[in-house]
Amino acid sequence: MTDFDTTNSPPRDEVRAARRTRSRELWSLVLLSPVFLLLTLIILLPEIWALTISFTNYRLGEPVRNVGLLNFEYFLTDPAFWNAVWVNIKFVIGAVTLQMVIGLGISLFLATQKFRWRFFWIALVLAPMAVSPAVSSVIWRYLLDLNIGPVNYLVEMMGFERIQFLTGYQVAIFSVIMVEVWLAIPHVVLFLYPARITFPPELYDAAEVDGATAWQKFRYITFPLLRPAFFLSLVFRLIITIRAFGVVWLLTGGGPLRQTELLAIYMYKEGFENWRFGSAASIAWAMLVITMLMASYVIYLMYRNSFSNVGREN
Amino acid sequence: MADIEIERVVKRFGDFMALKGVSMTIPDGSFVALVGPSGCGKTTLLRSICGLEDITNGDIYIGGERVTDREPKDRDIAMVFQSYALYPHFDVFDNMAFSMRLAKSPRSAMEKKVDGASGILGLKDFLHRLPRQLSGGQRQRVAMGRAIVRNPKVFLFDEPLSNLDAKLRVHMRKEIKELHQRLKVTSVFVTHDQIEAMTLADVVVVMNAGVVEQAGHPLELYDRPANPFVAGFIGSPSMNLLSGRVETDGDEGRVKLDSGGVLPLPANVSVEAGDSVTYGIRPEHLRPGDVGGTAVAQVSVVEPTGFETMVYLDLSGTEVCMRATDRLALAPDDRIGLVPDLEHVHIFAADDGRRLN
Repeated sequence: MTDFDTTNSPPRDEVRAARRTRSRELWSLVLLSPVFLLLTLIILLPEIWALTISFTNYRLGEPVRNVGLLNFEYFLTDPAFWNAVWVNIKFVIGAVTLQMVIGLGISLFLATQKFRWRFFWIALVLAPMAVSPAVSSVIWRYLLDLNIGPVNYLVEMMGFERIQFLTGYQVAIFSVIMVEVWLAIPHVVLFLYPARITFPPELYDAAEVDGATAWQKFRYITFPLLRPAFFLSLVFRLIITIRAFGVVWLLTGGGPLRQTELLAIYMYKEGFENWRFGSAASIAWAMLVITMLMASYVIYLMYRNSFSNVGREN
Repeated sequence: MADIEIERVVKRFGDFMALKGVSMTIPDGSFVALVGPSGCGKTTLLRSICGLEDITNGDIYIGGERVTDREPKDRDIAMVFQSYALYPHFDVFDNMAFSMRLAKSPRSAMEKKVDGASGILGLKDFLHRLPRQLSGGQRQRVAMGRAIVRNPKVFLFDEPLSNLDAKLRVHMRKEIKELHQRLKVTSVFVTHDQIEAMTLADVVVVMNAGVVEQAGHPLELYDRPANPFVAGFIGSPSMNLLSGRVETDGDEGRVKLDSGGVLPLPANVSVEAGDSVTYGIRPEHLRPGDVGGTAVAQVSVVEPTGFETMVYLDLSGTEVCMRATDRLALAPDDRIGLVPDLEHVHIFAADDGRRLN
């Protein structure tokens, strides 16, 4: 009762203040620990486990033996691996470029043009995000089907021959890229549209008075200011697209003749069709390293170019 | 150098008519302030002169050339925006040189122009800073520098001081005036602050609801407002506007106020007995009189500020303001008579608001 008044007063001496700071730090660690624990369990431990078995011949029903770098040597000399690398490069370059360009275009269009029902159109653009990728893959497989697909029905109606969207030797890679792009655009718009609508309209009035054309306004004002959001979105899309699996697996299963066999599909087949887990784990690690290197490079670019000279305030 | 001719300019936004046929001539080298309450069309008019707004009808000439259909960049104007609109990712130099860069001017020409403008504005030490590293006043100067570099025929200012704090605003007001005296470029300045308009401009244009209410020299607007709107808008605190009916008492005319009380009518007013009028009298042109007078009011608030005393009075439910430079010994609830200075009484017709004296 008598101490009541002093509990709210500031600490009397430094020792007490320091003790309080330390206990606060401890308390914040305690509060954060569930997240660390969760991340350790679902990310760190599986990665370490994968690294461990990538040096073994681990496969179902056989004794585990350490094989050193044999797994890495095995896939690095496998022509199917290099095919997968090449398919992956085509897929990432094609899909990410289109996602970013179309996503940027749609974001700028939505943010700058005057039209009715703006929020309806925004919702429509974002809709693919609300659908599970597995479901949309199945829908797209039906839409693009050679025999019963509505798209081919339209193609035929327009007087062309039916196209083997998912089974054509040259065509399949373009089809899977298009579906991946369709799925990813909302993600890009979600980054770029909110960034664009924060730019003050007076900036564009000033540019107009200064004599800038539409292209010059984009080149000198919109894009430089959008760069942080653009690069952030690019990093996400690169990481996600490099590891792409589900959509392509459900659409083509990697076929025809490995024309759409991405690294992740190659790895999946190694693990769950050939049951060579050790080998699959080594491929997974190779993918992780490649992804990390690429993402780090883009993040490096982002910090060098954007945050050093772009202010948020006017 | 150029005059600006605005001919019957109409601007519609859908069903809303922002400018209802505005005409005015802004002489070469003058400094004109467009002033009025929010939504009166002053900014729309400025943006129409600038070319950022396409007008629905009418014509605009700058320096004798019709610019109605020209792009802003081809009108030979420069604009300073309310939020300065500096490009946040360019440093001061690039902000000021942007128009020249777009016009593909050589680097040496850009440096020369920017050097000149930054010298005038005292920005030489800041050329390689980003806008976010500058204070409000410095950003304001960069915005003006950007305009000066274009070497335009006309400067347009859209409430450029309203984002500054009170002290800086007074300072920048003086700088803008000095700049104009030095460059003598025709300038149009939009503000909702009548003090700003009065102190800066050669000509003040009072706008209301898309029309020009009155245009003229600041003191002319103050001394002879054309209608009750201008009378109430120009001057702070605003003019007392009391409605009433004209009565005659022998040769002497007087106005019987609706709120009660009678005030004398000045000479040379074209009214007849029975006319409804608005009786305008500025706070500084009222004096306290004795309680036996014709209009007696009750003191509600007294505000002594040293140099002057502001007295708010209740005249049978209507608030009246009186301003005196002598120190009045008044307290709330005191009753005093109101004595107007007849030389400074403004009489307006009640129906159409035209000035009657």
